[in-house]
Amino acid sequence: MTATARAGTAALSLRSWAVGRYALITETPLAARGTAALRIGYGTLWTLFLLREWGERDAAWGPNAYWSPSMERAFEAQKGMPGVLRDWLTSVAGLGGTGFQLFYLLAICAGVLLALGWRTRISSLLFCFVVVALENRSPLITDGGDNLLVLMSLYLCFTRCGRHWSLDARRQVARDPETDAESESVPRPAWRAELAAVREQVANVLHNGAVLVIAAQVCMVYGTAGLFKVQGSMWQDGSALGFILRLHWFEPWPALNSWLLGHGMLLTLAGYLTVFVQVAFPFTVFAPKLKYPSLVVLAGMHLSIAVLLGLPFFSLFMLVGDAVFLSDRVWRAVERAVAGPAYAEVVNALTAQPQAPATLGVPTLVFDGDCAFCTSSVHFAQRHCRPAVRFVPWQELDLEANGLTYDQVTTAVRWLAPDRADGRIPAGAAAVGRVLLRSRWPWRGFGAVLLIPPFSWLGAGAYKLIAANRQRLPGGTPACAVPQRRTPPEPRPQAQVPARTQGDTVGLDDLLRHDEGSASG
Amino acid sequence: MLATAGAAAVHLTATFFYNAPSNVVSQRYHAQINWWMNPLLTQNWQLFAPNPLSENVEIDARASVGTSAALTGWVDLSADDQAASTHDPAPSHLTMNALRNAWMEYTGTHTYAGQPDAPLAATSEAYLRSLVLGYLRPHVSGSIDSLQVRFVVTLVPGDGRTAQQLAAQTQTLPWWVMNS
Repeated sequence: MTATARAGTAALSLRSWAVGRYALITETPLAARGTAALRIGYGTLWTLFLLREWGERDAAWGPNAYWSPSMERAFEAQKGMPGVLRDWLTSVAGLGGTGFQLFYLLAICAGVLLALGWRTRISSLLFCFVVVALENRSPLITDGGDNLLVLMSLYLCFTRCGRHWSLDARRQVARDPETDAESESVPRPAWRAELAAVREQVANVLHNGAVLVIAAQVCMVYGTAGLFKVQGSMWQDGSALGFILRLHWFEPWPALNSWLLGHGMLLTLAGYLTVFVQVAFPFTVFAPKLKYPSLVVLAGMHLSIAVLLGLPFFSLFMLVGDAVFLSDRVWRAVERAVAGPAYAEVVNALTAQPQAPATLGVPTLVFDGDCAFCTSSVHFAQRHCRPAVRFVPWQELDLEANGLTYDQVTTAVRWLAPDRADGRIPAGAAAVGRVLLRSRWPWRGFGAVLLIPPFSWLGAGAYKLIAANRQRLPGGTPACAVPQRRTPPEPRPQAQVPARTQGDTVGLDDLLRHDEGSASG
Repeated sequence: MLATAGAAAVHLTATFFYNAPSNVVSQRYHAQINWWMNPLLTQNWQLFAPNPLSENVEIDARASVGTSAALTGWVDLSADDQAASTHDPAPSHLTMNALRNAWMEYTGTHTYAGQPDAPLAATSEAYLRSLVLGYLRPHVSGSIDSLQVRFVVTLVPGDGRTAQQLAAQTQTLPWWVMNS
């Protein structure tokens, strides 16, 4: 290969890299979940902050505040700025008594709307407007947290922070099938489609620019805080935290401070750790192995400041900014943990390949379909716990093929794991615990507890007690009684299968009928 | 796309030089950087840095009350804030910042003798006065004719600080006559 050809290939690969980057930046909103977390975090914190200051609002920002409207105007008059900006920064100073109260309520609403993600474009602008206006009303009572909040409220206006976990996103999902149907019947004019595409591109580019700025801003916060500390003699000799803990103004828990002051070694190490992590932060964010430990250290630092110095809002405003560095992968894991395994996905997977339950990749809980108490318990679990588990009444199951006996399925629920390598079939409370473990929070936690001794023993006892009395429990009928007979009944016709199609389990039930038909046929 | 990239680049460059210690670039482009950053994007991240605050400030006030001009004793106003924040998981902004920042602003705009030496001196004095009046009212019965403020600053004890340095420094301001 000649040198020119090699240069040509290099240019070509550079070109394809650039094309790929261009496509990424124009087509994908990066860190969409991270910015959604910032939106929810700042909206919520702002609301909580204003509620905390409710009793102090007049003294802090009202027309008769310590920092009076005329002081505010004199203060702002010192700075050169365009008239519009001046009007914005001094807007609260111009409000009368009623006007101020209404503004305060509006500011609370803006926080709630932003957190909920209602018409995010509008609510983020409203949020930015109220935050900048109120934070500039009394500049001498603000701290670094307020400073960061102002900047973030400006940056968030440019992001597409409503793409996830918002009312907007929910409405989008609800509307999608509808618009599809519409577009089939009435084709949209080409220029409208083009306009929509351009709009989408512009929104993505702005979003990605804002994400870059947010990330760089957080890096600059820590970088500056760290690099200036390095120059301070107290941080150099490790005595800084000892001095901070002796300040009476930041001492909400004096006993805690004096206890900590007895551990000088610990304070010195914590001080050095803080400085090193802050200085290194702009670099560690590029190394995943270092990024998460750094974030954990910073979170620990913020929580300590929140409690020890009595500055919870300062700390939390800072902490929320760090959320932009958590990758989409992490946020999706959080999403899954909160929302629970998507029940719909499980059902879809089943529809795609109707096979015998135990050979599917989904675990199965075998219960008694004749017992109304059991059936309503299953409905409850499906509606509230939303486990990624299939519920099958034993009456519809080929017991032998699944290695079950009539005795087993009539005395307790049974758990059929997808791969039963050890041949064990957990029953009763152990099976219930496994269902809960695959449910959404907080049920998942209960599941974990239910599987650990000694709680598992208690659970087993409670299960036996309930099973023995299930015909007396709500929804129970005489058919619920654990049968005394020891012979399997004749296979019954399909019509006698209990009506389990109420509620939200239609898809699965229909499918199971189909299963049964093919199994018996 | 280019506009966004350009805006982000300009903003981040300005932010960097705004936050960095004074240097050749930030001196030459001082006006442009400040035009871009102030007042909307103002920021200061020298948090507890280079050295954290290491002195305790007590802000006291006394008043002359009523027609008889009876003098009250010194009242420790910062103790009110400390009492309010003790065992409160989320103390208010006023409690945590108002008096301390008023003290910083006042001392930053006045000489030790109480002479104004900065453009915002009058504003910072008016602010300190309104705060002190508000804090003092609950402690005093009768109308306040005039009041006086003093700052008692004590260095936090620590390595290398001598007993002489640790002695409290008291700065007493001139009397302020209330005009209402």
